[in-house]
Amino acid sequence: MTATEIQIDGQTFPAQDGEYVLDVARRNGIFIPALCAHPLLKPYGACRLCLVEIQQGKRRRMVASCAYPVQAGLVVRTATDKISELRRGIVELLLARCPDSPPVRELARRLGVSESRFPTLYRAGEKCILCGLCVRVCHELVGAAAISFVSRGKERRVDSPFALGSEDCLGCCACVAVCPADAIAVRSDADTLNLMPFNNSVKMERCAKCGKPIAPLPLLALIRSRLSLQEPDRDGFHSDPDLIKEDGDAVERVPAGVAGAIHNQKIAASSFFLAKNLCADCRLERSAQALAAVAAQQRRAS
Amino acid sequence: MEPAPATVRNLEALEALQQTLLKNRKLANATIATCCGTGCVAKGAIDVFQALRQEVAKLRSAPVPGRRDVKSVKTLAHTGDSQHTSVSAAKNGRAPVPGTLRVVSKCTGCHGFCEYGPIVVVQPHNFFYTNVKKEDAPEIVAQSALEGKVIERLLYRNPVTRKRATRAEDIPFYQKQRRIVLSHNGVLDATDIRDYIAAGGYRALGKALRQMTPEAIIAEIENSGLRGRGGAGFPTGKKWAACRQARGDRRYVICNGDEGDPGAFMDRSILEGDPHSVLEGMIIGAFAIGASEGYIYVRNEYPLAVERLQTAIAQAKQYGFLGRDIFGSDFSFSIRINRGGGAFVCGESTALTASLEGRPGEPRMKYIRTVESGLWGMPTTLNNVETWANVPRIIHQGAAWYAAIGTAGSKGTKVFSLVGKVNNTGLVEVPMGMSLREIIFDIGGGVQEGRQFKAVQTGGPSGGCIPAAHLDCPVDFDELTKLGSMMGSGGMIVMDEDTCMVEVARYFTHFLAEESCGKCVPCREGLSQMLAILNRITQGQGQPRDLEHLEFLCHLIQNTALCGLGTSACNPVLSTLLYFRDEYRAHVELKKCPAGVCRNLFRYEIDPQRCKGCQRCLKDCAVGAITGKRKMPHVIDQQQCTKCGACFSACRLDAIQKI
Repeated sequence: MTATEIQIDGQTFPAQDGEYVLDVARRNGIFIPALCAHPLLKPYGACRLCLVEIQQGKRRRMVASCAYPVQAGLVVRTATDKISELRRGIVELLLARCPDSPPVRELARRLGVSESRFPTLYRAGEKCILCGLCVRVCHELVGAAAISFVSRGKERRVDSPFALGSEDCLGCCACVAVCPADAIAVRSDADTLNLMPFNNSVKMERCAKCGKPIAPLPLLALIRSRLSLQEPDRDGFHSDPDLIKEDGDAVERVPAGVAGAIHNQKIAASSFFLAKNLCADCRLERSAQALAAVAAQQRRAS
Repeated sequence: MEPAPATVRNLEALEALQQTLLKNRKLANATIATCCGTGCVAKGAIDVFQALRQEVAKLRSAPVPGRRDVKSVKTLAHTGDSQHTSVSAAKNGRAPVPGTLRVVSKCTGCHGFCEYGPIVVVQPHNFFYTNVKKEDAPEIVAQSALEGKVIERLLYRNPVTRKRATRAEDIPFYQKQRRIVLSHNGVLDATDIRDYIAAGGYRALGKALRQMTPEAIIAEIENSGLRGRGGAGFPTGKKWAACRQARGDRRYVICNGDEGDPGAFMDRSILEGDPHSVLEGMIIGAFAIGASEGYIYVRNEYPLAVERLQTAIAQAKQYGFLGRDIFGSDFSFSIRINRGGGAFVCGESTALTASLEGRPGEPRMKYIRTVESGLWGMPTTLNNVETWANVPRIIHQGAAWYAAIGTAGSKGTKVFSLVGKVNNTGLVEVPMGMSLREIIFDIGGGVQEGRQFKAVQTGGPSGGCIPAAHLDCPVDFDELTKLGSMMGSGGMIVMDEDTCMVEVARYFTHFLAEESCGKCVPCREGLSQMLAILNRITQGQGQPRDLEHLEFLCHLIQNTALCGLGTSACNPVLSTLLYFRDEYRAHVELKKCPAGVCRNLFRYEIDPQRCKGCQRCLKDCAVGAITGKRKMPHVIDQQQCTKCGACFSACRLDAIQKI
């Protein structure tokens, strides 16, 4: 990483090689609207709202700031009349698509647009703005690639393969969390978690004691495999992912450490770590019992 | 006998091979070449070719009429689709004597004169036969091939002078053309690399690999002034130089054969008719930039092009033009074919690259250019089919020769597919700078049925429509852009007076809205909104502010869309708004379609003065909307009329009018 400097709206800011113009602007509190940019994801450039004007020598042109790499001596303008006009035009198009979407309405208000001059060409209540955040989170960060764009042009939408629900969905709900438009719905019943409109449906692990759903099964399986943990055996022996997280940074060594702790402290296997998958309440209860048992044991020993 | 394939290790070996092949070809007393390009095939060229082949085969078993000395015949060679038959003159029924009579029947690539296909050329006399039918085959073989006599009725007849033309050079369609890229089309058998080598093929490659440095090749291409033929017109040499300088472990070359423009078939014809020139260009380019792998991205809708490429690649490998240590140098290169799934946007370089990688064909932003980070993040040179095909010619004949053709900013020639309401539909190759008028009227033979010329759309679906007032504009990259259109990949659609320009704009906007990948907001939403407005206008529901909204959307999309599809998508609407605004206003304000195309905006009426009551229209009307007694003027019931136009075409007295 080498440091450089760029100029935004007449002010000079330090920047790092590999950063994009939007990163520098945001870090310094300069408002550039953007709906499809996310700090954890690669630049995408679909919403076109983050357009800025750059100048290199005498040449001026419009670029998407979310994807334009900083270069030494770059001169950026974020708020010319032309930029404002174009941004308002884009937000009008989005408003025509999703007239009731709160984030779109909010952005429109901020850009000074109250109504779109264009009619809506979609079914009423369309929420998705096709920013692609859900798709990209699922591909780039989760690695499941359970959803994707389907069809093209006006028919473009996000869906599972053939709209039949994806077998690769972990049920992690990262898509729901990242969606700025509240367009993905989670419905769950006792056994399954459903992500709509993708028709993705995943089984839930249930609490061994009270039967309450704890977490999606494929997600638990993934966490176990990423942490090199084994599936719970017949007696339900496995390390609870939540406990491991609590153990802090030495995640890789935790299973061995846990096993060692069991051995060293001679904790009765049945009372604590051999517990089957438990929901938070049941686990608390069980932990309290186990701790009490250990304390009693230590008292007796002393 | 033709020499067996063997690896060519140096220029001398290639030279020797070429001489042998040429000598062999000179032995043929006659060569009958049938055009098996797309247009001719559609008009029955395969039947013609097979009939000719049978006739040539018959020479083997039957004595040739009028040649009693001919006793035995044998097949000389059978390569690809071509058939070589020799008729040996025998003395006393024994050993053949020197002076063998050979007739070769082969199929070639597109001649470009598709309107008059199927086309058959008989060498060495150069007889150019048009509209050939399979029934003509015996006569062609007996008369033209064996006797060297011309068959008058198969010759092209100039519609104006009524004169017959014996050779292609005598036909106005060819007289103004300068065929460089298409020079092999219609001459060589595309399935036989030996035809290509005999014509001087792969000499440029030998020269490049053995006598030039990569830098010298790039300099040569830069000096030639060659600009990308895919549409944007980026200087090819500059692209190569940037790619060579970019940092990366591997480099790639890609040939863009995803020709998606409706009515365009330039690249298709080159791939089908002269695949080796594209391969040779790619190999030279790969050597120049330092690539060892190449891809040809070709539409799956072009099965013949794919097949011809596969054959060509296999043959080039046999001769050592592809593979390891090409021409005895230490340069190795391989080419793979990738078939596209039919998305128009995949002709865009970044979408094409994504599609090659197995991802959805969607463009990305090009702030980091393909030459720096293209296929799999590596430096990549992507050129169009026609660009690659130009490369061997430039290397072979030199940059100065090439730069002497064309205009100041656009060098060389350009292939156009001339289609629409023009007399001579086909492929034309002209030097840059020729005027639209020359192309459409001198080469194209003017507008069909003597109608008035209205506009020509250049550059494919996202090109602009240029009106008659600008017909004298020289065709090059910069001039067309100034007129609000573009060179594009070379589509040229001629429109006559009966064309509604609003409907034209609607049609192309519809095409582009459907082909938009939908990734960015302005292209997806903006084009849909434009289409909705244009649909309304052409249906007679135009609103006062529609034109203003259209202009705003054009401005918005042009300035903000992510890729070239979006930024150029407004050209049809913008150019028609500029040159044919009155037509838009007639649609919106008067609810009239002046050209009589938009069904809701005109009606058919029978002029009672002219109608003689012949009942022709009445019989042709499918919905029974016309009533009237024989010899009495008829009337159209406007409620029932579906405006199909059957009555209009049926009337011989011009009594039915569009109002």
